[in-house]
Amino acid sequence: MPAWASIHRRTRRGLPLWLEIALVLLIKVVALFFLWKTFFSHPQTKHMALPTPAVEQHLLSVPPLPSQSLPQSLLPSPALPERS
Amino acid sequence: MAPIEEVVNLSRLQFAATAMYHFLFVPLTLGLSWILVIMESVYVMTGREVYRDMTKFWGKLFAINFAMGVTTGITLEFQFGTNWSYYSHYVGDIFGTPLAIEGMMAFFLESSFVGLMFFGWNRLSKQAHLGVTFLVALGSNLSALWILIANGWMNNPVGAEFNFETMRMELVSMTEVIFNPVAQVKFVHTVASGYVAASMFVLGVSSYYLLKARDTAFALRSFAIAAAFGLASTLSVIVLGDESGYTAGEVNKVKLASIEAEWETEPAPAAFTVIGLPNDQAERTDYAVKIPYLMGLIATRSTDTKVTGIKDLKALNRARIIKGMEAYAALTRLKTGDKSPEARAVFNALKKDLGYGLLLKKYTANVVDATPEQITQATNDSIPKVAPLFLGFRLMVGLGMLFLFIFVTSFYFLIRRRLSKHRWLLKLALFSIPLPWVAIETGWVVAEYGRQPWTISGVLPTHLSASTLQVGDLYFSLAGFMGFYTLLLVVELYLMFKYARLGPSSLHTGKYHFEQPANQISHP
Repeated sequence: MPAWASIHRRTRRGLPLWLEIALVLLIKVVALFFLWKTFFSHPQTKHMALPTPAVEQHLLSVPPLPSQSLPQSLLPSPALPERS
Repeated sequence: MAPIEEVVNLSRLQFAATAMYHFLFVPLTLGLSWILVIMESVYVMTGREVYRDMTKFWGKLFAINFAMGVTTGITLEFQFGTNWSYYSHYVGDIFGTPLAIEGMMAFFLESSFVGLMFFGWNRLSKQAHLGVTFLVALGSNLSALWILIANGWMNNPVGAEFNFETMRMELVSMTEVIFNPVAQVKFVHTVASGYVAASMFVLGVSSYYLLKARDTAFALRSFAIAAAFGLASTLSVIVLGDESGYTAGEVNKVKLASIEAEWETEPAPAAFTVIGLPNDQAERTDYAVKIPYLMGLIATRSTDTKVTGIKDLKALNRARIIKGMEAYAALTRLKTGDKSPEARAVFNALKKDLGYGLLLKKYTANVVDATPEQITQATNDSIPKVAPLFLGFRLMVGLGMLFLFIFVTSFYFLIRRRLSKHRWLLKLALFSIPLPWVAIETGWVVAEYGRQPWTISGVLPTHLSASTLQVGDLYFSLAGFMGFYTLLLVVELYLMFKYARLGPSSLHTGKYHFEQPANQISHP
């Protein structure tokens, strides 16, 4: 009990809670800004959109071919044979 | 080429770790805000000062948690653009609206009114202050709604169509996105679990004062509100969790079958495996203890509907992967210039399986030439690991049952005025304070890991969602996040312990334990 009484006295003398919180918030904003600036300030996606060719390259990755020269395997067929 | 696996795994680890740290703060904000509304409502109705002191004291702990937690979620948005660029592109048209509304809610409702709530006690009328507290609670819960609408869409991507011109999902119906059944169930289940966490927090801290025989009138009233609110919330979580399971059975059969280690499609109604050791290699559950019919009743709410097992789901996924190869070929045809009505019609007929075809990109750049072995590998990938889901789900449910027991017994002994004779219950409540967080984090792991191998279920595989980054950058940013969040958590715990131990004496009203001369300390 005396220990808690002592904590209580120290709290009364120390910083009020709102000031403790304000300090933490300030440190937090600085830390977040540092993290953002260091690692995240140059996102590959601006405004949640990439150039369409970049997505095509990523998802399709096969160099675009003229449709008339598509190999048979690339052309959709109504019944692609089961491969297993 | 798909980014190397280490980059994908590190990006996943970073997102999971930051989301889990973020969600250490969220549940208390969601629940404690409503507990403050209840306490302050009683104060406004009765005029009894103890309820004002309760609102102010628990409000102080709410403020600490709010201050530590606010903006911890913003780092997830940093990661979208940098670590998950292809995912961001795919969802950009859908997530823009919910995330913008969430930001507005968080800023205008929560953050603005939090200030008024703490500094407005002497500036606002009782009723106006109660209105402000209510708006803080409403704002924090509505923020969660918009985030969970976005998350629900990832599990059940309704109201959107893939546009081959822009290579992304585009919004077709905002109404469908908002009223997505998965999002609605997730929202109510998540906020209710936050109410349980906050109730256990207030119950446990109040139990500490009762065990120490300090400020008992204050503690008993806090205990009573926490026990009643916690009991109602726990029952809600259980009912809504059941609803969540039913919704998963409707729209995400793979997740449900994995959580329940349902390897085979059993005759309806399927048995429920209470506990066992799932063996992913052998595709069976060792030492399984089963309750007949229960799984079928929970998952389908009928006695004659089958719950599809993992092996059959794999066969269905294999067929969809093969269809996805056709969709991929049709998309390639469109992208290489043949935009004829016929080519469009072929793609439109196949595009629902495009995502399954993309699962093959992990094994072959040219999806359409995948070998049978590669198709088998992709099929195996289409099911998440069963053991962590099965065991994680049971841990969450088991803890939920423990919370129900604690709140029921607390409420019962409280109304029978026999609480002081059951110190074991007070100790149990005190030591159970961290357990709702364990249950909640486990629930999130089950929900998110259970969606694998997808970031957008059935549409975009996780391994194609990540950016192409340097492994070193990811390690450094991961270390930065861990340091940052750990520091916040340490400060939160330090301040929480400090003010919780001081109790209402921290209000400096002159009425409470540490403000009394030692010979005047109250006893129960």
